[in-house]
Amino acid sequence: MSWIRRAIILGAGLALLSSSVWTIQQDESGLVHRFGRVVRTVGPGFHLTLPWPAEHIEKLKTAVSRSMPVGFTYLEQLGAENADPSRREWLTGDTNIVKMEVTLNYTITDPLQHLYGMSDLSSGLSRDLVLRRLAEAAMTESIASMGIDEALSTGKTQLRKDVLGRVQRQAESFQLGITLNSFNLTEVAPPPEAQNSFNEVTSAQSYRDQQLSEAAGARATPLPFARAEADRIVQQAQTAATETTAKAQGWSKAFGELATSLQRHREIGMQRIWLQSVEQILSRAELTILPRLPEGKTAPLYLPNK
Amino acid sequence: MKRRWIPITAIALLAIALSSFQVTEGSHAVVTRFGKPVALIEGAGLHFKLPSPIDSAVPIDMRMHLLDPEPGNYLTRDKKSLLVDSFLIWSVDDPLQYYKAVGTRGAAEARLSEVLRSVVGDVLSSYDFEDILTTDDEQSGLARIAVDLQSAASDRVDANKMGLTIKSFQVKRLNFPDQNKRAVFSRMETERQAISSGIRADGKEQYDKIKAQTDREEAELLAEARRKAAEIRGTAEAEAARLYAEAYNADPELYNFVRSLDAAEAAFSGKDNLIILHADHPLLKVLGSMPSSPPTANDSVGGGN
Repeated sequence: MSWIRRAIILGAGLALLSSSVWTIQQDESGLVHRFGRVVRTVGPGFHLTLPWPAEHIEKLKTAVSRSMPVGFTYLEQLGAENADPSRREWLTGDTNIVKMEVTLNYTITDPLQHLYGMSDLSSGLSRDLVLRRLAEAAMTESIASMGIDEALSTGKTQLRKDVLGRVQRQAESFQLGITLNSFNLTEVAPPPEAQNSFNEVTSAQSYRDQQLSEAAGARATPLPFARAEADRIVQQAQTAATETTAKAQGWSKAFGELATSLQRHREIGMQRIWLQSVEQILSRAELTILPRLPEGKTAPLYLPNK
Repeated sequence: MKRRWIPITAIALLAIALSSFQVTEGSHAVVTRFGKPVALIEGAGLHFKLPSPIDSAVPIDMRMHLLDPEPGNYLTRDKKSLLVDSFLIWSVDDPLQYYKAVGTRGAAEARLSEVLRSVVGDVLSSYDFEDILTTDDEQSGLARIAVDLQSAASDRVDANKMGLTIKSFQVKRLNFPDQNKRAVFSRMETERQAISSGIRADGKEQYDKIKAQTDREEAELLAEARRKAAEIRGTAEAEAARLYAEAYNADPELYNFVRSLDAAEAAFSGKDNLIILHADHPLLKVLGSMPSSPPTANDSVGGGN
């Protein structure tokens, strides 16, 4: 009889003892509850508490970085859920629609706040989804104050700044117990329904660039040619001018000499140069001599057929 | 003797179990006596009351809650339809009042959902569409709307004495209703088409401008060269003319004579000139008879014709 009692007491003792021994893994934190109240937070390692029902430890993975998709869901990416295009759509300040997907990375930095600042959603989903709502509201507000061109280009920096700052502030005031690590814009694009016309703008821009570089090319080639041509024209004129002047000077000199030489025997001198000219001309020409015919008659004249 | 401890211990344990209760972290508890609230326990931990069924403890979750109902279509002041998805964050601030007036989270959320819908409707209808989506203002329309939403919802909740408070009321998504989206997309396309044809026209214009400028510069270069060439030629010719004039002035008769001969020579400078002379042309006469001055010459020599 007594060994049964001893066994029961030993068993109960062991059970109580085991309820007071805890191991917290490397990536976890533990909240020690004493009759429901959290009395301390413990880190990884081996811990002792008062036995059940006085104390127990609630564990939470805190060392891992978590990610929260905004504008899409992981289920949808895996094909486990129907994709909802309107989830990606955001209205810009100029009443256009822009397509945007974002991933937020965060870590739980205050386990007590994280578990007891805000409740789980009434749908039973995790309170982490509050973060998505806050991020969505921040993004909606930020994008609604910029135009679509800004949203697609320079606005991304502004958006990141707006969202990170505001969501972190609100996460603190709503006691999510988390710290945001990064904001990654995984996709920013015009909506697929209007994608073609946006592509057309891009191709128009490259058309313009091409026109400009073609124009630069069309400018680069003819101008040097024109300069060379202009140079040639001037050079030619100079050559011609030199010739004209030289010829006139030569002639003038020769004339001066002739005039001097003709100061005496002028008649004879003039006759001499006349004959020189006649000789010059006749020596190069073909001569035909016609006989003198009686009045009123003409000789048939055969001209060489050239 | 020893055996009597067992029932005593059992009864004591039962009494403790019936008259103690735990309040978990993040909660308060309302103690009710026969259903009537008599005390509010504010700290988490182990607490005591009169044993059940006299007293019972109702836990009240004091954490903040998110209420995120389905989005709804609302009209702006200028009668434009918008799909608005908003959420609010609320928490209990007067647990006793909350226990009396509402009781459970489900009931609270049902009433808050109604408040949310009517408040969003009211606030949206006091803004023009342009005030909500705008790139002009310093503060975005949505930020002002969020402030309005929160104060309007707080007023309702306070008036209803629900024992709870609205911590935040925000618009998380805005969109056009599906039936309007097609029009938005086609407007976006039209806008982009205008932009791209503008860019194309600009590219063409720039090209033409540069091309025209190049043509003009080219023409200018050549014209300037021609002008310079003409000037150079002109100077040279003026110099030549001066030289000729000088010669003329020195001896006009000789000048005319020499120039005429030069002109004749130039006229017959080609190789294929045919000159036809009469037999009694003075030039031939020289060939036909000896000049008189040398008397010794033989007459018969020049007889050939």
